Amino acid sequence: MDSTDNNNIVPPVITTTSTSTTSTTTTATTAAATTATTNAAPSTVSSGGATNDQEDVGVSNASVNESLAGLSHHKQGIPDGSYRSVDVNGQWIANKLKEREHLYTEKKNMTIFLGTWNVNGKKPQEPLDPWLCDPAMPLQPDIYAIGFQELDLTAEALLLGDTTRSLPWEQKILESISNEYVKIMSRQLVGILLCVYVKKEHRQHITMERSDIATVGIMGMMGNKGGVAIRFKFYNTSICILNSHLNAHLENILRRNQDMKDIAKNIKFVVEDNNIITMFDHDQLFWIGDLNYRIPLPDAEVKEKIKKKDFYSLFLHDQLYQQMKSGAAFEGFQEPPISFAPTYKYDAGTDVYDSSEKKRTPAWCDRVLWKTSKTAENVGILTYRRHELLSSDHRPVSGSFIIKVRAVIPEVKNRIYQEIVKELDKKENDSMPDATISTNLIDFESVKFMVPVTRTIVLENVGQVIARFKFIPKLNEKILCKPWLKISPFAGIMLPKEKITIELTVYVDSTTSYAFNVANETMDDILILHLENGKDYFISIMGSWKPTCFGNTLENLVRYQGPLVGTQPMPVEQKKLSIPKELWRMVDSLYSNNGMAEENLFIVSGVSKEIEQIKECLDTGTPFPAFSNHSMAEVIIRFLEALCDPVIPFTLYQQALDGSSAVLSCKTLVSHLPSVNYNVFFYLISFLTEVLSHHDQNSLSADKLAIVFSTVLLRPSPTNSALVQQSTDATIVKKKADFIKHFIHSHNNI
Amino acid sequence: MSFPYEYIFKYIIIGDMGVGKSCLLHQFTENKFVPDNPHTIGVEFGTRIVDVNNKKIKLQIWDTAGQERFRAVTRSYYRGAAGALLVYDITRRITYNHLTNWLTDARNLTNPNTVIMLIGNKKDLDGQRDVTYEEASTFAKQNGLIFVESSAKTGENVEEAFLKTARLIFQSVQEGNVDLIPDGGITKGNNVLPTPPAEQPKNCQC
Ligand SMILES: Nc1nc2c(ncn2[C@@H]2O[C@H](COP(=O)(O)OP(=O)(O)O)[C@@H](O)[C@H]2O)c(=O)[nH]1
Ligand SMILES: [Mg+2]
Repeated sequence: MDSTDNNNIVPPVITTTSTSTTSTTTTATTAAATTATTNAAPSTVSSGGATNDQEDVGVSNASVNESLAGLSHHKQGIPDGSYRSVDVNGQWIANKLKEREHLYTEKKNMTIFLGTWNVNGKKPQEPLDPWLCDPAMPLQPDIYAIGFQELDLTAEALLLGDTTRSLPWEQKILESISNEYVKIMSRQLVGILLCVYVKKEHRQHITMERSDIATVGIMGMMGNKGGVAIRFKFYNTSICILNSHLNAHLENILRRNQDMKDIAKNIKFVVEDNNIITMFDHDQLFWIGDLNYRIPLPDAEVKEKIKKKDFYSLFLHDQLYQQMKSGAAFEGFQEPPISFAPTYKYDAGTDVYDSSEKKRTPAWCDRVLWKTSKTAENVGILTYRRHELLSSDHRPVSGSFIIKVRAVIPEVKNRIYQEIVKELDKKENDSMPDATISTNLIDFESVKFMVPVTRTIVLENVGQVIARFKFIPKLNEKILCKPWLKISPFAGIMLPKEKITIELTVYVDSTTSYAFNVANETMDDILILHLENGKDYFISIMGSWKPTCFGNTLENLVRYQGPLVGTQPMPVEQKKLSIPKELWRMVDSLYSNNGMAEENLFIVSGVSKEIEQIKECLDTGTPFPAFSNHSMAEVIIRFLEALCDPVIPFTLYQQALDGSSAVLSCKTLVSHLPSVNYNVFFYLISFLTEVLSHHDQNSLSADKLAIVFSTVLLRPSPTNSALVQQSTDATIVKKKADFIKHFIHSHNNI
Repeated sequence: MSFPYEYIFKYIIIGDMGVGKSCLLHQFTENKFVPDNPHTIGVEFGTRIVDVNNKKIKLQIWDTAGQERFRAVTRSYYRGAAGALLVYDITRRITYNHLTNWLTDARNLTNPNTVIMLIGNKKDLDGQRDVTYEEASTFAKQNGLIFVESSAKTGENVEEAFLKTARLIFQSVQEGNVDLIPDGGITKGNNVLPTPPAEQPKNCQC
């Protein structure tokens, strides 16, 4: 499994400015280099013609994840790294660019001229024009690669590596090839010199120039024999040229074969991204030089064939030809057909083959070979000739070829690059989760006290990846939504195309009603539904709330002279009612409805429909419809129970319980109640006393009433769950009832 | 090889409802004009990698809801923006008149280096023009904003608006005015190192 997938990628928190980037950049570069090395290896081994500009672009999982991480909003929104759907690998852009190479490159024919001359230690004497500017050349070369052997036979060159002898030769070359050319590079190994020139107009398309040498001479170390190589990239085509001087003498075939192999093995270049490549890792490889292969025929016979220009039958005896044919050396190399006389060995300055005692048989020592990689297009042969410069015992030779290169059309490449980046952007935009939401507006309409209303939102994953959603708090808030709203579920996950229904329930009870009944807040909220790594949806919540005496406070209710619906409260500082008129209305209606005589009043439940009507009438101020006393009694209980703070306030609850056995402490506590609470308390006590006086009809007892009323008058705060839990324990129930009973009894006694 | 971008800049697009914020985003990220986008009720994103001074920069663009009632909520998204595109509709003066409110929010809720670009959108509807170029240009000058008129429909000046902002942010980065902190809306792309999770993902199978 890909480790990046499993790792959490968290955007770096860069706390300092630019200076701090050094270390991290280094790490990134190292990582990048590793990637490049692994990636580049196969392409260079195949040395394909497809080798193209390695664009310095790419995408990594890490960076994509990072960017997604950056999308998160708010502190807690930083994705937890579990995002796995992005599958953009580091090579994406580079690969795409390569795939489309044919669109932004054009084929161009380029001419390369390769010359080789063993100068036999001579200094330049004659102009090189007949060799380098042969009028038989149909095209002016784009590249000149000129190789010499035995340029310097002095001991200084051999032992001290003195290369000053090359200068006059380079000077001579420049005199011939005109100033349209610039030198790419030259390299010398004792007597072996290789110089490469290119037409100025192409100079910028020559890149990655490298050179190397390999010695195979005396004891395999000294450079009197060996090879010099120069490689470079010409447009998109990699070219390597090797100029060599192999061991001499007719019988040394195997020695020469081995020389060739040693050179091939030893020549190495360090190229892009520290990759090490060999000569064979090039689209086009040219091997030129004095290869020293001979013709093992009697001297006279050779000369006879030369005279008759029977080069073909002579060539069949050529050692190099034989070796190549048998695969013993220069495997895979090719040579243009030879249609010129052997270039060795002449009496210097003459047209006469060796007339010395040694009488060396003429041979084609000086050759031009090439090898095209399997993935590149083969070269076209233009010429293969010898040239009549007489100063050495060898004649110079040249081969010229057509190479097809792919030249980048920069504007087109840039355009295609932009397109690819856009595709990547699109891919990334598409890989963001996306969902549709059935509505952005939830209207709960009319909401009543303690009546839950539920609405739903349907969220559908319309993106291409898994979508995780969660509701998040607004800036500077800690809660997802107002306390009267419940969201279920408030977080979740959806597969593509999956839907999920989210229920939003508004429920206002005495813990949340204060906001609407007392603080006059409206029922509005905005929720933020956040898609991880994606967009946020705003959902507006609204509902209408009618003021009600349920879930209200005594303090607030006594400020209303009229019904809560439609009446403005009196200013705080003005005289208030002594008790809420709603309570008075209910108690009064029981009196007038002969409620005192009702059997088991406050014990038997009411009728829910009547209860709802009574509640409505209390808030609107309309007269009560016909009702049963039990319904009215129950509303009284509900009213007291719904008070945001009970008649004996939450803060005194524990104290009331603690002192419940002592009459005095109970009375002291009550005497310290806020005046409205005190009034309500004694109003209710007088009422209960009155009820008890009818006990023979209603069969109620002080105990029964005390238990019922103590539960609503003496309540623990709902936020104190421990107290809430205990409040139904028998001992607590008794304590609470005791508290109330002290008052009912004492009243009785008066 | 390197990462495909060196920096990430966060942008927000703000302005009244209907001025073309979402269209500008789509035109910039997808090169297309989607005429009947549903109203943005929330915040949407788009990204695009752009070239600034030969550096690849990833723009991460947050398109916000323009309705007045979401104003308070939208404010929470300003934080950490490196660029703010303040958009009005040249055919509806009211959207221009509201610019000061938006600008106040942008100034108060972003950092002082945030580049604010004023965009007069719907340039293609020149016949229905309600706000002259000169007037808006003066307003921009007075408030130190860069200004451009664009059309999300034809695409005119859309690139320019986003890119010019990026160039100015980049300049700021180079001059060392801006700290490379995520809160500044600018993150360095290649500074990303895999760090162990602060909180293990629940579905981690490693
Ligand atoms: N003619 C014209 N119409 C536009 C242009 N930009 C946006 N619109 C239209 O204006 C309306 C609102 O665009 P939208 O992007 O949703 O505005 P937003 O609320 O600011 O996101 C849509 O009907 C678009 O088709 C524009 O440049 N030219
Ligand atoms: Mg929009």
